Amino acid sequence: MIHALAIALACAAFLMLAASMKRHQRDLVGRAVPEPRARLARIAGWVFIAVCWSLEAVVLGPALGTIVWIGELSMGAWLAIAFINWRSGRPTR
Amino acid sequence: MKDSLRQSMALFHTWSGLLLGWLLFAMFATGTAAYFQDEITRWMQPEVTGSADPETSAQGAVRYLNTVAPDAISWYITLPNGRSATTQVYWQPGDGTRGKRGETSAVLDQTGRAITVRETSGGFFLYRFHFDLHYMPVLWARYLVGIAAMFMLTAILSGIVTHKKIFADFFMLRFGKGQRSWLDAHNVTAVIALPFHLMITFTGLVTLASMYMPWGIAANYASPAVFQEQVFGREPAAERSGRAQPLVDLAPLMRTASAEWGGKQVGYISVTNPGDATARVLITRSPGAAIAARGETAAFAGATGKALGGHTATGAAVATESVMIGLHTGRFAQWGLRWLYFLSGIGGTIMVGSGLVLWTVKRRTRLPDPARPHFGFRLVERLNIAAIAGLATGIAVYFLANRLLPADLAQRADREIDSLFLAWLAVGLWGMVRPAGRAWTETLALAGACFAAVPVVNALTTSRGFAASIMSGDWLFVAFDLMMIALAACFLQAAGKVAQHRAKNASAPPRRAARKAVSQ
Amino acid sequence: MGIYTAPSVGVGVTVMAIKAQSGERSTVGRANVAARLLAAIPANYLLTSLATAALARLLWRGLGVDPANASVAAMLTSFVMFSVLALVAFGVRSALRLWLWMIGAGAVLGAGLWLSLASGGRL
Repeated sequence: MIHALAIALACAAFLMLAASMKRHQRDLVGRAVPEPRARLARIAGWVFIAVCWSLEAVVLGPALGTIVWIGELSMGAWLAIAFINWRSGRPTR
Repeated sequence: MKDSLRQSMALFHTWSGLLLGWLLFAMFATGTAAYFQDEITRWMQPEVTGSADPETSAQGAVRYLNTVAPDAISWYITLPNGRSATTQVYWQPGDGTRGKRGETSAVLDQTGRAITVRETSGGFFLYRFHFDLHYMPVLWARYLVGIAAMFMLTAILSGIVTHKKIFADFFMLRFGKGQRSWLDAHNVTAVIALPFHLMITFTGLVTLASMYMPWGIAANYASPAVFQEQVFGREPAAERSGRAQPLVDLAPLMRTASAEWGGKQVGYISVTNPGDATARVLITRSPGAAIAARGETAAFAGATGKALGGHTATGAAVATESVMIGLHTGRFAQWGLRWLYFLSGIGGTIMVGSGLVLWTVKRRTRLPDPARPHFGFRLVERLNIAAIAGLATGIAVYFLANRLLPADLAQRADREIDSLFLAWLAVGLWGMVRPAGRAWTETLALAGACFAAVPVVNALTTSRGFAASIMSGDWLFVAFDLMMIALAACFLQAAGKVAQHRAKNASAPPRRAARKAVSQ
Repeated sequence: MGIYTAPSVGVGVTVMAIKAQSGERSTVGRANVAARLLAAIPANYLLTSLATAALARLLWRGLGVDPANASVAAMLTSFVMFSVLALVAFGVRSALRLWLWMIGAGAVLGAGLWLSLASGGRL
């Protein structure tokens, strides 16, 4: 259960990071995002990643928590990429 | 200037990756399966049900060993953990001979009876294959595997130098976009699990480090045995006194040891000079109970049960090594983390596989005559088919053989393994004689069909088919069937994709399509 | 190890890569590749072995780490040394300078190791 939550958090973090990048904004948000907002998204992304780590570190201890966290980040990244892929659906890059 | 560094690293990455890529693919695939080696073994022993209690199992193992090998030099007992239900025992015969495999080892249930029906190596074989290979001396295999791992490490590092942009292109993977998507698949599987890949490759080297780089130990120790004794507390066995004295009950010793380690479970027990007054019991902590792989030990006098003091290797470097080995084997991982390990391993397998395919995809467009490639290109193409589709088919056939070979066949475990390699060889040969494009479709489809057959054959030959397993809540069997179906779907889909791609290429003028693809 | 000098890196291999691609495989190009391969694999292993042994001695005799941990620490470091050196062998501009550096480093490490072994034995 905790894994599902953490993976969802990691996925959200990566989507935030993607939304802060110019070339993904049209796919994700549908329009260009002004720079202050983009910066906010970037900060939120990193905060989510940090929260994800603290969550695992509190539940499992820092050593095991870090190992699990890295695995969950990977899974979150997969989901984020699959989501962006689905949203973009463009024939070429 | 920076570009030239990247170019030379790219060249290095391509060739170091290709040269041992096939072996690495097999290591990654079987190593990934090995994260579930206990579960695979349970699936391959459908007659063994329920769970086993470690203490009862230890007592049962002692009863068995007392009848089979009372005068052995030593006994080794691997106890069941939460995931397995059987006890592995191994003994060194008293006459000092080294018996053939199978004659000095046995698999027991918790009452100490040898399990003889449907003899199998189970998931253990896949685990051992990923660093011992097969049909060759273990020593050679381990050197070969070490060389491959070293290439992998340099390939990863040079890959990072080459593709610094991949971090910025992190979200750029696009599925199913022809040749570009091979590169995307390679990059994304590499980048997403980069910490895993670096960790698994480095720690893999560390597991056999004293073989690959013995000079650090040789510099400080005239004999490796002294080092072993200092780090692992292994003492040379005492001479038998000749005074017979029965072994004390192991269960209280296990409880004492476990309590000493803060409740961590016992994993292994070894007994030297069993049945003698000089008998010594060494109890080792289960590798599943902590991240560090090298468990604490506790020693007891076998005749009296008196504690002889334990041994815990100390020091930062030794502890680091132990944690690294633990990280590699992942024995400490609970269900969630175990699946993360497994999925990361699959990612690594795809990374190596897509890298191998990428080599041919990139070069095909540059061939002087794409219809008639030169020998080296054809060789790589065929070896890719053999390595990827062949191994997959082999593993599926290994599972099928487990269900289809007669349950009481002589040397059954070896026959199961033979069938894996026969299937692998057959697919490899098939790939050699057929046109490459068609061979890909056919062999991938064959691998898919074999995986799809596993749940069917399981349902027909055992009473633990998919429906029955769901009814009885036997999630291990359910998950195994589902995994087989998922693998079947992936391979069949891949076969379909290749067929589609070929049909498209056949209708389009090949040269133009090729030139467009190369300008990336 | 000091071989890696940023601005001059990587030209040699690139030149030979371009040559190989254009189909003009000169003897010089081949010798260059062979020299780098020899440096990156067998010579690298020798040098890394020497460095590992020397580091194990240094940690134990010089810095007072207990011998077991000194040996293991050196062993763990060795894989990093080997892989970085392999990359450097293909990255630096001049194969000749690479070899000179490696031979020099090997001589220094070998001499140090020999002195250390001669002055205080092994366990």
